[in-house]
Amino acid sequence: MNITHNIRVIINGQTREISVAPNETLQDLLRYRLGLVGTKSGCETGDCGACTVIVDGKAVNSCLVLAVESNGSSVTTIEGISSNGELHPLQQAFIDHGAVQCGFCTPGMILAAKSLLDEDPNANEKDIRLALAGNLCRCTGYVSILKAVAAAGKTLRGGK
Amino acid sequence: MSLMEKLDGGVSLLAGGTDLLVAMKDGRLRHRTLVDIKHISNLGAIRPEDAGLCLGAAVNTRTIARSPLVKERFPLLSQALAVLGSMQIGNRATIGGNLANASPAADSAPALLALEASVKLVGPQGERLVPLENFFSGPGKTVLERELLTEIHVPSAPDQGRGVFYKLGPRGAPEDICIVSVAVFAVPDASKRIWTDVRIALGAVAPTPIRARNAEKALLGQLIEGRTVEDAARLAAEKDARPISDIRGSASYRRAMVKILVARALEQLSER
Ligand SMILES: Cc1cc2nc3c(=O)[nH]c(=O)nc-3n(C[C@@H](O)[C@@H](O)[C@H](O)COP(=O)(O)OP(=O)(O)OC[C@H]3O[C@@H](n4cnc5c(N)ncnc54)[C@H](O)[C@@H]3O)c2cc1C
Ligand code: FES
Ligand code: FES
Repeated sequence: MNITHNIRVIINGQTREISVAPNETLQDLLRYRLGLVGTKSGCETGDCGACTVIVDGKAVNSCLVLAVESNGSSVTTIEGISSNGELHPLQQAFIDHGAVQCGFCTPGMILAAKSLLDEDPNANEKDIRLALAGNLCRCTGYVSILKAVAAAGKTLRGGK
Repeated sequence: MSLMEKLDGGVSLLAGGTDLLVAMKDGRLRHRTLVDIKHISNLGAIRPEDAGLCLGAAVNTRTIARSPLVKERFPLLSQALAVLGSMQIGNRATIGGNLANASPAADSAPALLALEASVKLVGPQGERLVPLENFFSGPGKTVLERELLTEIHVPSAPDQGRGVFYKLGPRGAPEDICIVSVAVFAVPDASKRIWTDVRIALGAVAPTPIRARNAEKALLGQLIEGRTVEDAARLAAEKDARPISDIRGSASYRRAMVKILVARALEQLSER
């Protein structure tokens, strides 16, 4: 059987019409067909968070979303959060705080953190820890990541 | 409804997909036609219902946990759902899917059992309302018969009642599948000296999430004090829990933890 579905999805602000296989995940669509390889592939079962993207404002594991389910949605990947050549404050904060080592977890971490700060600009350390609990990092020990997210939150609030 | 007739015969309902996609990927489910139920309109709402709540089955657990209405009326439910999986999982996992998947460790179950919730099941034969306690029939098994779970009804609870949820996971992180979970909802009398209504629910220590009826009976009408708490916790561990040993913990460890968590919950609810 070779059924395909035509979907219309906004990816990083750009509307795309794509035909997808019924068993294709959003992760596979982004990585292998659209070349957006900033969305990483780790466990593929929802455990590691490396594939995190933002769908309609909410962070999700793209390995557990079918591409067809994103029909009509707006998807943001790590490639879509800088603007006019300027890094997003979270990206800058990760660099400033040494929160990137091998970098494999970084896109997922940043998108999980972004969805939290978009939802709740005043998120405190406890909120940040809870929001990032589904993102595993094998390198940093997490402390620099927590610091980076807190600092970016401050920048986004206008220094407060 | 004609699709519902085909459920099991190659057709599965897809809600958040957090159980279904994992099962398909590891080969436990194959070549299915999936019917996405997330966009059926009346499955997506949280509504007040008298002094209780009606939850649409396709609402995701994080939305319920963060809902001001749920926090105000049933903080116990909000507390339990706040630790159901990571943020990313909670943004997809639906409450209906969590119940229909029928894991003995499902985090929504103990709180909903303690709040005496019912589920509405709709199929080709019509609809029925089933108390959640009668909904689960074994690990991964429910009484669903080619039916859609549409709503979860949480009845109003006495004003003086308070609840607490404890979840013990291997890392203490929210996305852990629990080793043991305990939800207790307790109502004291006006003088706050006597237990007038206590509901204790346990997760991951029996083939389904259960009410700890022996422990509850031991408290009813008794003084709120250390001795009654201890007796009830012991009964919950020895009589109510029927745990197995698996990769997450041994049966004896689970029993020991039931005793500690039930006691801790009751102690917390004893504070005036
Ligand atoms: C990494 C990870 C961590 C997790 N952590 C936890 C945790 O800490 N605690 C916990 O409790 N769970 C946890 N889970 C499981 C949890 O995500 C699921 O149980 C979820 O709630 C299922 O809902 P869903 O909408 O994703 O269901 P789906 O996967 O879409 O469906 C699950 C099953 O229920 C059926 N179904 C769904 N909705 C209905 C309905 N309305 N009527 C009838 N049948 C229906 C489907 O056909 C399917 O058989 C975790 C899962 C993952 C992948
Ligand atoms: S690859 Fe999706 S969570 Fe690990
Ligand atoms: S920086 Fe290597 S996994 Fe996080």
